Amino acid sequence: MKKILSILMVLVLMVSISSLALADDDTDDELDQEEQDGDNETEEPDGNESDIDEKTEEETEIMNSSLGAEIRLLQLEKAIIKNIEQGERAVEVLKALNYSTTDLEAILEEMQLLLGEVQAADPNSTDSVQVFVDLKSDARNLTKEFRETIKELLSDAKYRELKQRIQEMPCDGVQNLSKKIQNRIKQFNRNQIHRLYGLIGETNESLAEGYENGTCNLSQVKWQISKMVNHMIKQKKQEMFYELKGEKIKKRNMAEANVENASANFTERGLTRLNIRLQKAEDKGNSHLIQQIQNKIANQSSDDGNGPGNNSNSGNGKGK
Amino acid sequence: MDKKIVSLSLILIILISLAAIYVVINQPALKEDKDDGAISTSITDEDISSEIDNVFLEEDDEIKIGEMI
Repeated sequence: MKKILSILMVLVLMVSISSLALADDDTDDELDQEEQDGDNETEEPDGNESDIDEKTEEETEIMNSSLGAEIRLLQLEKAIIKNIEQGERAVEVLKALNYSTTDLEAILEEMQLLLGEVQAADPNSTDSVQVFVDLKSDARNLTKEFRETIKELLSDAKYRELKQRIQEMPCDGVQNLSKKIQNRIKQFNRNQIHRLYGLIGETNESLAEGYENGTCNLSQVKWQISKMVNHMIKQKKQEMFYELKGEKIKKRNMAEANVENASANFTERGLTRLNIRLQKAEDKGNSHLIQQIQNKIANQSSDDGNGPGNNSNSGNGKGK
Repeated sequence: MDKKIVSLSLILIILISLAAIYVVINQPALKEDKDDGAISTSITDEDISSEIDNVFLEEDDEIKIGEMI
């Protein structure tokens, strides 16, 4: 009898230990996951392998369709035109105040070349995400360069005064483009209404038509669809939720992969774009722009020679 | 007396085993709840509405490249 008792005790111990081990496994998994998350958060971009931020990655999520890619490229075009307009106004004001604006004008000239590249970009191309990421990065760098050059020219008080003056001026050069973008977004959203209708199992076209002809706005569309879904049976609702969530994760993963691809050879592509711009500047005979781009190419090439980790992003060098 | 101890021990084994099985079965569901990108097990109407919102693009959506000044 004692034997049976000791066997039973061993069994109890074994079961208890195995449950503890299972619980410990869970904790280990959680800790591993937390550590991994922490690593991802603190991970610095690899040397000069682009400054592709989370926002840009999010923006590329809709670029798996040519309509989505067109929207993003048009939005980038609009942002660049707006900045060129603002920059031109700042140059005008500074010229009137007898400041030297040759560096600023050269930056604006390069922004014009960049604008041409954005306008020429093909949204149907397979590398549209890479093109968007590259050109957006150049646009940000040129904008920063312009801002810093002005800051070097002016005192803090004068800079603030100029900033206020420029921001008060209306930006009317992008009205047509804004309308075009809005139309494309409407088209995109209409496609989404159809997709959601497909998931709900609805064939009513009135909501999509109403949205398209302006009788109802996007908030009303969202509200109507949410109302329809909330009236569905629980199982169908869950199915729809899983479908939407699954698609979102798929899109996010795709964007992540696309941005990762765009990160590879980022600096090399930046140099190639600078060389193309240099060629265009030479064709125009714009000596200051030529000098500025040549300086950037030299800076980037020397950065490359210094090895990874010491590099700046493409277009960050300042042509002085 | 011995028989009582044996049956008590058996009941204990069964209870612990049941607890272990329960933990193992519920493990994936708990994990799903924790993961931000994964599927939540308790879906509310707000969750669905939020997913529907995410499907659309705001008409005034813009790309930010910074201010010139």
